Amino acid sequence: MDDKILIRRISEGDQHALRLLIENNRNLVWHIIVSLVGNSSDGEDLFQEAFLRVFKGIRHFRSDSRLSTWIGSIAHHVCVDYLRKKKREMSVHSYDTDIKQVSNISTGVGGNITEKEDLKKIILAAIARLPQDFRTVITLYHLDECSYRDIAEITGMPDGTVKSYISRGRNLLREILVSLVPDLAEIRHDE
Amino acid sequence: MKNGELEKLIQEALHSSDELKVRTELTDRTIRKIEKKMLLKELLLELLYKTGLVLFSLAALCGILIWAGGSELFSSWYTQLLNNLQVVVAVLILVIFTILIDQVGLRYFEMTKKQLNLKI
Repeated sequence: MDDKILIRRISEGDQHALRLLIENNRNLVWHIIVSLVGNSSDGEDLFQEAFLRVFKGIRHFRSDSRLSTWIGSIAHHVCVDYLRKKKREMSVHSYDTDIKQVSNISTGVGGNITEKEDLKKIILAAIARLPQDFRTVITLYHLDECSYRDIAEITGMPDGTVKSYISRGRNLLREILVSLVPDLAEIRHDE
Repeated sequence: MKNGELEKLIQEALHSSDELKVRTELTDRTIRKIEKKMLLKELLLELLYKTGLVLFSLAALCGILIWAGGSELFSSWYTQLLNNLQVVVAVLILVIFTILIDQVGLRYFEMTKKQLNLKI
């Protein structure tokens, strides 16, 4: 359904259109929340708060940007407000695996990473160790396949900064991965 | 490790994360929350319109009575009001509270309960 029609139908109180809007954008919103705040119980409240703000402001949406990036920017604002209230960066970023578990994986099997699942866990834990902005940008770029422009609109950063964060984020990630599993490059090469 | 290889690994890892998957019931809960907020807003607006209408009618009635009976009638009412200020304020608070509960509180509760039953 076209964005304009969807917005008109939501403004008219169509519940199915509202459901469609949430279903189309829930992944993006959830990924922004998890990358910024973590998967805490507050995450669900922030998810609801984000869509509530979207619903309240949808009549004022101008088609300067895509609806999804506008929704993403609202979700980003909701998280930033939340973190500002908390007055600290949340440190709970497990991305499923605790870093201690990763250490066990990397050293437990005689230093060999043969299982693909283990490798995924290590990468997730490494992403979770990235600084907040890097983590968000990397997640949006690789998971939601957002363009630099979309990420810039969502986060409010300039396009160049987004590009630089993705590049620096990858480098940081590579460093973290190598520090966690020094022989990773060789193992990948062997595969 | 090459960039392309790292990108592929990141993508695969992120897609495999359970933490990054949205629970389906969260959509339903979000819709319900939005509906509840909208319902409350609607009920409060309705009450505001009704109150405005009643106040407007009362003001019109007072205007007609003052016009017919002169300013003496108005000053006698004013004196009566001042003499019984406590009672008048108490009755007003009671009326406002009752109307708020009846028109907003109970209707809100009933409607949200109906929605719950429909869901089941």
